[in-house]
Amino acid sequence: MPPETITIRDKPTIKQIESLVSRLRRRQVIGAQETAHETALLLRQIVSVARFSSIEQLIQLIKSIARRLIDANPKEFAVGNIVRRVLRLIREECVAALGPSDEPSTSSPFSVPETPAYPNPPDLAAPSRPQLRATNSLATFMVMGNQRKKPLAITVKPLLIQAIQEVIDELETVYENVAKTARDHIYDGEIILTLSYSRTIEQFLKSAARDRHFTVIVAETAPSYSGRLMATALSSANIPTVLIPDSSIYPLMPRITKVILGAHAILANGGLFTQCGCALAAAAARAHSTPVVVCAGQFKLTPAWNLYHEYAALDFAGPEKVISFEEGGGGERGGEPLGVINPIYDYVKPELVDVLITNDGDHPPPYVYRLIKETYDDEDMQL
Amino acid sequence: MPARDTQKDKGSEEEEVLQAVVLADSFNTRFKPLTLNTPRCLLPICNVPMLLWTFESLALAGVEQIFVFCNAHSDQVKQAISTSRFAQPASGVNIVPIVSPRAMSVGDAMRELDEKQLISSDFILVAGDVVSNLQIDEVVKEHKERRKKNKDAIMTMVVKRSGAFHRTRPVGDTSLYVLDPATSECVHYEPILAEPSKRAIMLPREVMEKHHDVEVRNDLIDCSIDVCSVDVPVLFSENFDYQDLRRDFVHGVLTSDLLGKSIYCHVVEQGYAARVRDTKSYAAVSKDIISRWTFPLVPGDNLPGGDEYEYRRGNRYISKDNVMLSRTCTIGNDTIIGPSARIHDNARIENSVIGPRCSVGPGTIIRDSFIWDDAYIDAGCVIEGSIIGQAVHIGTGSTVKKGCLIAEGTKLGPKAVIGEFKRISREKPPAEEEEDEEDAADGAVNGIMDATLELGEHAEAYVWPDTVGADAGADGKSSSVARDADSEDEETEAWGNLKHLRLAPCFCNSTDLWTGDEGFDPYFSDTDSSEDEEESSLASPASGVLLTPSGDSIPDFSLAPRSSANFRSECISSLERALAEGHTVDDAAIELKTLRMASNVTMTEVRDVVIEFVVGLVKGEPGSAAQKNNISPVVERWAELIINLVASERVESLLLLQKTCARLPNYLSAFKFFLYAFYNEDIVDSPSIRAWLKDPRSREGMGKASQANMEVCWKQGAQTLAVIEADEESGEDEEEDSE
Amino acid sequence: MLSPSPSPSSAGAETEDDDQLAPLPAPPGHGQGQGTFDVVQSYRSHLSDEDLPMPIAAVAALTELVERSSAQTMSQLVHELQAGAHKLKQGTANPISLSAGCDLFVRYVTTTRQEHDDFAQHKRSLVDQGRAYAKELPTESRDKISRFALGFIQDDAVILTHSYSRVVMQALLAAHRARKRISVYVTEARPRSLGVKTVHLLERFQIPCTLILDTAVAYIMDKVDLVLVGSEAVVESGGLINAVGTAGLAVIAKDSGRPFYALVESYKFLRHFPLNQYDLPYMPTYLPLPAQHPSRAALGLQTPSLLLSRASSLASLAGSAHGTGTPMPLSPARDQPKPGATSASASTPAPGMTKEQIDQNPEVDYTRPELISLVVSDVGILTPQGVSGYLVGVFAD
Repeated sequence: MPPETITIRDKPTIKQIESLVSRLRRRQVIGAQETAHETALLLRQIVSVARFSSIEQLIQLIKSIARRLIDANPKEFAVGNIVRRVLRLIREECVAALGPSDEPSTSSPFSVPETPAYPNPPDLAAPSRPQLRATNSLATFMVMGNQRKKPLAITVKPLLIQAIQEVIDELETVYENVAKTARDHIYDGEIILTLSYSRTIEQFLKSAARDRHFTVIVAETAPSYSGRLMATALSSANIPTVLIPDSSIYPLMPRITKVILGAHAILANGGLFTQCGCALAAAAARAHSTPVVVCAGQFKLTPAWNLYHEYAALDFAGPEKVISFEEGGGGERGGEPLGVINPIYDYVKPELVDVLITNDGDHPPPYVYRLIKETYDDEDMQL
Repeated sequence: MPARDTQKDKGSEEEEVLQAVVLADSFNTRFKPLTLNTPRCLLPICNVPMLLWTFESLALAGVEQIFVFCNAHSDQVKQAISTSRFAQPASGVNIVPIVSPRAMSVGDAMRELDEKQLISSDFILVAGDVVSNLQIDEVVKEHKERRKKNKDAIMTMVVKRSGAFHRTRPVGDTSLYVLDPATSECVHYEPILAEPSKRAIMLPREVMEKHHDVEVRNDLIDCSIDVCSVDVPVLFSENFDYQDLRRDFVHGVLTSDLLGKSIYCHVVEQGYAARVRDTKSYAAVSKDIISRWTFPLVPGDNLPGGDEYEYRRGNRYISKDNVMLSRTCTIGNDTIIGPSARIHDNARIENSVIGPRCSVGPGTIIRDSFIWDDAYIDAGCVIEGSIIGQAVHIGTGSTVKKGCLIAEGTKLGPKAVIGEFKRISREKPPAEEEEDEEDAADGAVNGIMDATLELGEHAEAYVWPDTVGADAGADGKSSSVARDADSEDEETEAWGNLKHLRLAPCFCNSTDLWTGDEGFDPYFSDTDSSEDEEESSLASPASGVLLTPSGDSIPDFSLAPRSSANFRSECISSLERALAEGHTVDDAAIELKTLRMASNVTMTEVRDVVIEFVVGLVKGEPGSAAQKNNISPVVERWAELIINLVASERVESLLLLQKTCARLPNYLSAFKFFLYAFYNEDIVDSPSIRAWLKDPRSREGMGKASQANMEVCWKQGAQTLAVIEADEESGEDEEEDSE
Repeated sequence: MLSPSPSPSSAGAETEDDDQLAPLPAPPGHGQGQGTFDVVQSYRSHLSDEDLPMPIAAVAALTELVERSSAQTMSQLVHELQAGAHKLKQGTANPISLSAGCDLFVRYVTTTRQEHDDFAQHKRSLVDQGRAYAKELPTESRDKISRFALGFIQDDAVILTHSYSRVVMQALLAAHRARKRISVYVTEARPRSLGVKTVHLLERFQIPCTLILDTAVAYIMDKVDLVLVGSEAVVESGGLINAVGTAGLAVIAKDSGRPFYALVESYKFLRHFPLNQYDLPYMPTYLPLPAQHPSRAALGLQTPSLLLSRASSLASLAGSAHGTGTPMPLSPARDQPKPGATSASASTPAPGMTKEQIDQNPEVDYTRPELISLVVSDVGILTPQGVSGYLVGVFAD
């Protein structure tokens, strides 16, 4: 039985939702970190004002709002990721508070007996989860119409808010946590190539610089030239830094010992959406067998597979950054107007990446699907 | 992010609601007949009504309250507003439609705004057909900062840099700005039209005195976005004759010492803003949207209408909603296919916009065109460079050539052939050109003997009259369409072609030429009253500004240099008035001088006009005594003026007089009397008459004056000279005698 | 105990297999009541009568076995099931796909918690679930897969597929229905030439398609946007076992940088970890080199039998190569649901190649996981590595 749908009635919250939707649409909130943060704050607000009689209702409500947020800017994957993560936590909290028997998917009489259901310490629960799901595919199929008693969901609200708060805190500390292991990845005398500007990488390199002496080469990353920002940020932290044009990435590659890239989103196959230009660097690195390291927060794990087939997935911005309107619009008399293609992101194939460093540890790209299965609930994969 | 910063600022500084005023009406017929049943601001551009683009542009800047002034089809505008997503209570934007049936210009709207006391602080004034992704709030901030220091900075105009030949740049509708680079104050404003081309402008002297540096900029597009202070509507009320924002208001404010207000420009370097002024800029703005200059306001991203599009290689946008593309159809680059559109086998679509629920039949080719909602185009048609309105039905095998506008609900074909630059509607066009009308009931009857036009058997359509001389507005439109036709590749060439093909017949007709480019008015361009308006402004050159000595300031009517014919009529009317009202000759002379400067004509021309005028004043039967007697008082009355004008060029004046008389048979025989009268009034003296007689030009044909007539005059002149010389001698003798 | 004896005619056909099976050690608990129920026969009737896929037919056959079983305890029942499963695997020529179903069902029965005290009742519930499973799962998973696959098929895509696969066909039709203007290249897929069937079906739905020779794959690959194949089984490494030719296709696709997707229902996931082509479970090795190699003859290791035609020598050697003693399947397609296609292939042998020669060739091959972009299954879209994770989840204790 689908639970009765509920809506938000609180006016300021509605306004907040609309505001985030339109800011996402208008790209006034951009970047994974920022959108993730805004989403988490909004979800906290929603949970705190929502009146729900069952967890299912709350989940449906959050999903419906999440769909609007995602539609507003489908290229900001962090929105969906945070929602999935919050939903997961909500379920967990409910199971913890109201007893495991209310978790619908494990209440099947046919679940594997020796597999313990919740609760489990998270680390142990993770590997057991796929197992549980797997049998469920047979088992849930066979369960037709089982009884579910409605828990007194509203009582867990403070717990839920606390759980979301944890997500927010985690987002705020994501840089430090990614940077924690920096000294294990960078050694003295290394020459490191990076592109664009990423707070994660900035923190990572700064953290490594406390113990190691290395040189960073930053490609300026046209047309945003965010690499310049990165270079100045690093050199002001006393890290020897060299700024190069993008065109010299390949010729410099033989000297480079490591390529460190940020990510906009990490897809389930281990591929990445990164700032445009990173695919070039990764391919150049592969040609010289230079290791490619990707640093990203866990909230960038995206349960999506097929996005890289869509041409538009790269998110094409306007031509203005590439060429001025004056020159690009009509050309001189009689000239054919210039076509300009300015993608924001690149898709980097998983086989070009050697390791992913997240705030949750280091992983090889083929392992990402596993992380995703652990991080999100299956039923949230499609919001 | 800038947007959030400003929000924070707003929160901390003052709880001031940012207001905007949208002028939804343009009273413009450039889109006629497309605008017969739809207000122009609701015409779709890239499948979204223009008004929504404007709203989104404003919402992007954090505007919270929008007043929409609407006049024509106001119910439709209201309807559109109430169904848009901006009408939702949580959208953060409050839109208030204001119906003002009597507002016929920006001035009227502004006065009404002042009357209603709706505006509480600085506001954004924008036309209802602007597409922009600018951060206008930053301009507002800049404006407010300036206002803190200088209360007289009443307005900031937003202009965008663009190349001189940029496609979005409105040909024939540009402006020249003189800016102070230090403060970006606009110190002088000069509109420029394409025809006739302007070679020089006049800068008031005090501009140079007051400002150390000035930049004269011809590379700016007027975005039609202005940040105004509350003083602006008040000024409009105080100066009830201000109609147009640029020509009257900006010009008035800048040239007036009394007001002491100043206007600034904000030159946009980043971001896009353009106004859909005519069909040509319609095509250009569409093209800009398709090539993503308006990002993120592009299909597939933040399209104001909210439809979802899939973005594909080559700037192809295919709606995600129920589009049916045949397997064998070809969708070319730079194309938008709207929701529920159906494209059948082997159809080819290139560089076009296909509206929602359109159907394109098998084998049809559509190029560089804009097909609006629900249009049905049957098999085997060819449509190029045209706008096809809502629910138009085009039958099998029809051809629509470039530059056509086909209005809502029209039925054409099968096998219709529509030539270039035709305008076709379902309703009858205004009744003046009856011979051009089509008898739709009979269908087959084709009133126009035009090889390029064939409406087809089952047509329900009227062809609008062609451009030449008939309808002033038509020229403006067809020219825009012509330019529209080649939105990209051959823009300039087409414009050149257009001059030869379309506007050439009009060159002889100064009024047409003038009104052909009329409507540069950024907000209101009213064709029906335009001519009257024009005349009134031309007929009153004696306004205060005009008479400032030595042409320091540009007179109001000097917006466009006029052809000599135009000047002539101006001149004559000025002289007639002087005659009727008994002005002093000095006043008339100054008036003429200013007219001359304004029109940039030679002195010879002025003399020609004046002499012809004076000659024309002499009434009476040719050769009659009455005529003869009339001459000397008339010449006496105007002698001073003529002397003033003729001064050193006496021979030339005589030539002109000779020409005038030779041309007009009434005065052929009277030449000698004129000459004598001129001599008597000391306009000419005997040496100059002698010089004239020796001048070879005096015995040749001149203009319309035949050589024979000139010869007649010359003989008369020779006789007269003899008489004069005799007189002089006798006079001398007399003098001698008297002594 | 209801145990109708199988009809003599069909039993006759199977006795050969049974005889061959005889040397094998009898499974423990080869029980009393089970002997009269022929699980292989049941499997075949499910396969041909109800048009079930092989693993599901196996589940149906085993369900029937449970229904007829007289076992009184869980362990008895499990023993009987295992014996039945074993018999099934031995009793068919190409047991790969089938064994996935068998394993799944046995696993299911062994791990299901007994909720009723009455064992008979428990058995009944098992039977009910098994039937429901067999009835609904195939369509349900194919629906799911075609929904997933839709995301991979872009408008205007050119797709290459191999042989015939129900799930691929359904995915293509779903894309077609979703107004995606797909075009399809289909390999003929010798020796069974099921590609012909694919083309017929696609043409019926007016999807433009072209039948190509298996040897033309490399030629056409540059025009292809993506490769979609079905599979008989997915093994634990994430590799595929599918109609012969698939591995070559995958190598070419990889070389050209084209994505290669396998659409597989999760009941075809098989707990096996083959390391190479000849490591396939329950399958003999095909195409051995002739023992009478000239060099070997020169060494005098074996007397060359010059009178034998090359083909017949191959045949006899192939027969002797099977350690288990299982005879070479003479009609490789006999287990297939569409006998029509078999006759088509049999009636059009390749010129210059005798039926015997063809029969020397394997029916399936193994595609290594690194050649596969993704496995699209009803339990989600997996990387090849993800398959093992899934299988471990199902079968690990």
